[in-house]
Amino acid sequence: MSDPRRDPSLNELLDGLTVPPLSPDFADRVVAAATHRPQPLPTPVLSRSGKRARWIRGHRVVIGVVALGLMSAGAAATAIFGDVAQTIPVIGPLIARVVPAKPERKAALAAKPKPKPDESVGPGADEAASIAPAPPLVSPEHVGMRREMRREFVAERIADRLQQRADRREALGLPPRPVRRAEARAVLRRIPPADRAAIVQRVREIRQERHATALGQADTADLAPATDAVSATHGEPAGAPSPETQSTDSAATPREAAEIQPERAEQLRRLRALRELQRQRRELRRQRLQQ
Amino acid sequence: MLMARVAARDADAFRALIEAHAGKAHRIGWRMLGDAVEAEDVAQEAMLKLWEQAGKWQAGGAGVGAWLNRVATNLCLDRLRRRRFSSDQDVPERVDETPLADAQMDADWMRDRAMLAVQALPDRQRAAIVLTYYEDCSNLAAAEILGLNIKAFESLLLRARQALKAGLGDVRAAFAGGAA
Repeated sequence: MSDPRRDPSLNELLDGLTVPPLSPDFADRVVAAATHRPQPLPTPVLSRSGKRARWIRGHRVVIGVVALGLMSAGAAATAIFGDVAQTIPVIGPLIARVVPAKPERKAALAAKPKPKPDESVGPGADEAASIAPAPPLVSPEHVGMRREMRREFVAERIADRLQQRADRREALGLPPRPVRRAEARAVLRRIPPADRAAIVQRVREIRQERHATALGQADTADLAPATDAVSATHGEPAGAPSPETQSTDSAATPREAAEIQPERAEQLRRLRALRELQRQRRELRRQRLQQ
Repeated sequence: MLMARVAARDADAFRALIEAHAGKAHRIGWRMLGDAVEAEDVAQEAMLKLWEQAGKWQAGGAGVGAWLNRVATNLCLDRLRRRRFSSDQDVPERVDETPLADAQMDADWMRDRAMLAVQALPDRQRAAIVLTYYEDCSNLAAAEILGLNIKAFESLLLRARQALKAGLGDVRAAFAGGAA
């Protein structure tokens, strides 16, 4: 208890802290408590390290193997691995006994090149393969002819619309309205520039023919967009024959029939038949609306 | 040898161990806690721990005395900690519990004065004083008991001594006032 660094007064203070003796029966009490104390329970063993844990692990392994087997069997039954040409070691032969092997149709199809749409017209694939490719049906002459038909059709449709409008106004008892130049220009603007000049020329011709037929004289001064306005301002009769009728009549004349090619005459004939059909439909629709 | 017999549940051997070492645990408990009943509880609990751990005892260590010092000190620190958390008041001052000086003998007066000074220390400083001054533990052994390195323990001990010196005047004044 001696420490040279200690203060004597502090030493005196601490020495005063005497300890009372233990109670006389302390040892007896502790021995009695120790001997009568219940034995501590053994340390609980974690269930994972026991037999039960091994049993649970075994269960899980079995369940996993069975699940994997069922999944692979299902996949093989649905032919998921069919195209991959994988053979499942154990389940494959078992399934092969139950499920008949599929014909090698897919493989043959995969080996064969897909026929082109033009070649598929032939009776068989072998014949189609042996036949040389046919020349294209669309020739430059054909393209030009179709373009000409389209121009003719558009030009006559424009004239037809103008005539229909005039008819409607006449039916309503209204005076004939002058064709607006802006409107005519807008119609022409919607036509591709490549076709526009030809259409304008054709409209001009139709109108010239009509003028020639109606008045017996040819007036070549008007141009197509302006001719409508000019003719409207001149008081063209509303009940005048439509341009297509005129063209039909004019095409039917021996002079024009001699001028145009026979092929063109055939095209025009088809076109007229088409227009006639459209006109009939329009009439039917109008009647239906009136009813 | 004695521990081997205790491990074999020999009550006589255990009694011998109690008579040899229980006083040490009791002293630590009394000086740390300042209560005779609690000190006996600490001593009993330490001895029962020794009884339970006897089967795992390995010879060649620091010995039963050092082991009991450690166990008793930790039990006291646990009780002091529990006391602090179970009550929002400070550690009860010994002077309030003791009878007045006129009814006590001089030894009791000295004891109360020392107890007041020791109880005023923080827990770990008090343990450092009890172990080194009263139980003659070396600084190294006391540091091991408290789980500190030697430098930290020496610092703790120095602060404990300084606190005791600072409180010495207050204790004298308190007792002078109480005697008057």
